[in-house]
Amino acid sequence: MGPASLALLRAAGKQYARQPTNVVLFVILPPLFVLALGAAMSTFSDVLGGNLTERTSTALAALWAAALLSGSASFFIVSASRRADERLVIAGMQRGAVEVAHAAAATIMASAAGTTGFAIVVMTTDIASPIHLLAAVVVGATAYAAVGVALAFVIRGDLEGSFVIILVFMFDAFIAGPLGGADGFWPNLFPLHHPSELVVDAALNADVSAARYLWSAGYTLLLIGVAAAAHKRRLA
Amino acid sequence: MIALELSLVLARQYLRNALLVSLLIIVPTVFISTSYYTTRATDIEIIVTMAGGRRPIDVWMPDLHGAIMVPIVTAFLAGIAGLFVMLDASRADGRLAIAGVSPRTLAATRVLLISSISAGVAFLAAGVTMIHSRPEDIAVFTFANVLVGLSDGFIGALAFLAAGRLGGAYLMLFVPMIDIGIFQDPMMISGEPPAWMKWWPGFGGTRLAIDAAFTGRGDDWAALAAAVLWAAALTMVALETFTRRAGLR
Repeated sequence: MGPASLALLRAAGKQYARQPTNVVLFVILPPLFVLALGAAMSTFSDVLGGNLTERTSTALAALWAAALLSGSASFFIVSASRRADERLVIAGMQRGAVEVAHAAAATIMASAAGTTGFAIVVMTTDIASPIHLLAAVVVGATAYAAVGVALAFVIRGDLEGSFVIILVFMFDAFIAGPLGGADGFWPNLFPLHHPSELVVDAALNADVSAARYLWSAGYTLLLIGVAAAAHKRRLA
Repeated sequence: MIALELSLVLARQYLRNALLVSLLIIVPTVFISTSYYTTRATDIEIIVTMAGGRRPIDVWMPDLHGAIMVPIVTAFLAGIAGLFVMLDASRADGRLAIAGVSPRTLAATRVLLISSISAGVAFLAAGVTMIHSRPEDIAVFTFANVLVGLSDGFIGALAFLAAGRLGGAYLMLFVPMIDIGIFQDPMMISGEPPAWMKWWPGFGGTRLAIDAAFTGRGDDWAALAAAVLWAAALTMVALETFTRRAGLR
């Protein structure tokens, strides 16, 4: 990362930190969500036809919280900085530097959101493979951060963007994941499907499928590519 | 009168946004229909208010899921809409104040607009569930969901004023899910929920809606009182906060 991207990233971080409410909510919402949802979700899984225990439910809640937070944060931050980005490019900053700064910011948000949710799960639940759990949560959060960034360049309004994030997330969480006991090929098309399965495997046993990691990483890279292409098109 | 005219003009601005209108129709339709068809086809026991007491009854699980998705979707959409109506207000109301519109009128306009969107979303969501299963008392079921929508619409608006655009969005993505999607959902919390869950804004409206859907009698007066009190209190707080804010410009 070059000095221009680093300066831009530092400025974005300062801007975010200047609104302490955002930071506080970012830190306390995942644990609250994990604790509230963990106990109830195993009952709900039985309703939908899935088969989850309280342990896997808590781990899934961490993934969901991280995905929702990083997706919405990326969408709102990138959507708010569109004009500033255009001005920076007009003023002579390399387009690539702006893109690298946004990619780094989204990755940091995804890692931070994933880590807070992961920490509360590890503190409250006996997880078979914490390392795999952390990796799956961060991959899922990164995929949603890429979705948020891509949406910010396609959809203009905050209200419409929020509705799309809610729509994609609810489908992903309740229908395409282990909660709904989804099978067949179509669940593969949702970004959280394989990270969710990885989370379930990591919670119950350390035997995690390498193919799921490959699919999750490939899908996340594809989403990052889509977000980068949308960014490039916007700044062109 | 000016408030009504202004809110009509502002509502027209939202109605001109084809993507927004499409999403307002697509989101409830997709959520409620999908939840109906993906739920296991079997009975589930829930507790409802009947003959003056709380009694267990067996209901068809897809019908219950379709019914509970109405307040969940209403709360999500009304909350997010309330948040961004206030965001737009923060940009436009300064100019309207300079143009001579009084703070009380500006506040009343925003309250009317948020109330209309919340009620509209509740009617739409209740209408979608009727495609799949007919609640026994449609009028009380819809009314209960309007109360949920009003409460969450004003929570969204106040969340923007308290936490800003991003913080407010975080709150409105999680609060409806925790309140109505977990604490008030009879599929999540089996039996009678603990007392502290009944203090949440979604409690009264959701309980009234479930009773109306499956017993045909929305006669849980405590739930009705809780829902009306939350909706009225949040409307008054929003009106007062909006007025003060508009007066400070």
